[in-house]
Amino acid sequence: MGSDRYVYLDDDAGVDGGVDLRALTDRGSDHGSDHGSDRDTRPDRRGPLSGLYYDDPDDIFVGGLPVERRRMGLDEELADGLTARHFLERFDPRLANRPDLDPDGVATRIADQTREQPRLAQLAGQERCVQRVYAAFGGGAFHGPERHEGSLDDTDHLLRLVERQDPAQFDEARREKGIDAFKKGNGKHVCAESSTSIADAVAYAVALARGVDHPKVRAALEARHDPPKRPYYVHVPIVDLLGENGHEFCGGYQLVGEDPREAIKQRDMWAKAGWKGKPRDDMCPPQTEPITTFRDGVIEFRIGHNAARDSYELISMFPRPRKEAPRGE
Amino acid sequence: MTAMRHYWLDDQDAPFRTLLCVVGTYCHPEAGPDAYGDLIRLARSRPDDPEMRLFKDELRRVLTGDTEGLHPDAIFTAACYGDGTDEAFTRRLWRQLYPGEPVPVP
Repeated sequence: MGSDRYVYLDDDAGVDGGVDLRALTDRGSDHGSDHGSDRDTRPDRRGPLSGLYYDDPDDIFVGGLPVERRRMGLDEELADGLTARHFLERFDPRLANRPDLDPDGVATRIADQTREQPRLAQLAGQERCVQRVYAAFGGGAFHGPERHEGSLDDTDHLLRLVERQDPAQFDEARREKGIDAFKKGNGKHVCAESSTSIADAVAYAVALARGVDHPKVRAALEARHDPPKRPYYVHVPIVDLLGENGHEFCGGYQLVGEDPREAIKQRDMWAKAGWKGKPRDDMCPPQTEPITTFRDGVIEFRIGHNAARDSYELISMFPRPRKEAPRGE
Repeated sequence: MTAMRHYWLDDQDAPFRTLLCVVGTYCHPEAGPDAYGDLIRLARSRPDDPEMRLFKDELRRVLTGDTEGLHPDAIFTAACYGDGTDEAFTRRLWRQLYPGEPVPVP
């Protein structure tokens, strides 16, 4: 993947007050701020990035409406005068069916996890109470942070959504062939109609710490282990875990299309052709858009088997934007 | 995209709740790499399990067109399949879960 990630606002879409997403992703280009002149030199090839230009993953343009997100401080009050730090410090790994941690072993565990998953390197600068939550899930079945946490930027989301490239896959050649980081062999990565994250390491840890203590999630994790059965997935309101403004920590992109079934089917055909290096000139590229708000959304918890298949564990956690109730409900 | 919340998670009486919860848990792209295999094993090895019996009955009803009370976007919202249509998805599901049994038709 190229080092340049060009970012600009889609003025054709009539969007005002946009944000240069490079500032959010810390992935600037060498082309300065004159995005318009860059764009003018490019062929008029509208692509999957929602009315923006797209040629290939080496030269990707990202833009559109800014996604709501901000950073969570440890002293941020979340509920009833209780802070993020409070919830992180009272986190008990055993609620998640994970072994308790020696506090002195947290840094070592994080270092070990980072060797396996470089995306977690950003945790090195976090306080121990934050690291401890991530460390508790190290070596387990949980792969939420690698795909749904703050280290993902807009480009990661879009490559996942459009090309089905797994953000957790750090072998570049395998990632560009759509190979999943955690499937055996050359199993392909799959992606739903959206790619989302809690775009802040502290907020993600808080959602995890509070989530495993939520009655719905606890009921799932405490269910009698009965493989191959697994508990149903669980939705918990974002506000219950991250506070009244918790939606501001969430971001992501979704596919666009009149028929969502057809949008996913077409996206899959597009991605598969890309993995195989087939020409895509006559294909209709997937269209995407930023998810503009997660207000009133939920956090989804996925539960599966631990490595020994003798208890249930979380396998993923990610935000979903608010959806309307069906008519008549 | 489809704008619908997963109402079947909280509504114990939602029509086709078992079908929707099962396909959401085992077939959705976020279900994890082993989930679909778990469902195949479950369907084939525990035909008399109450949940699996209900699931199979609801799947059969969908395949035969008896979908009263089922929101037209619910199966897709739950499973987020790449098959293109509910019919293609549910037919594939039946064929893979119950390979010795003909796919029910309307």
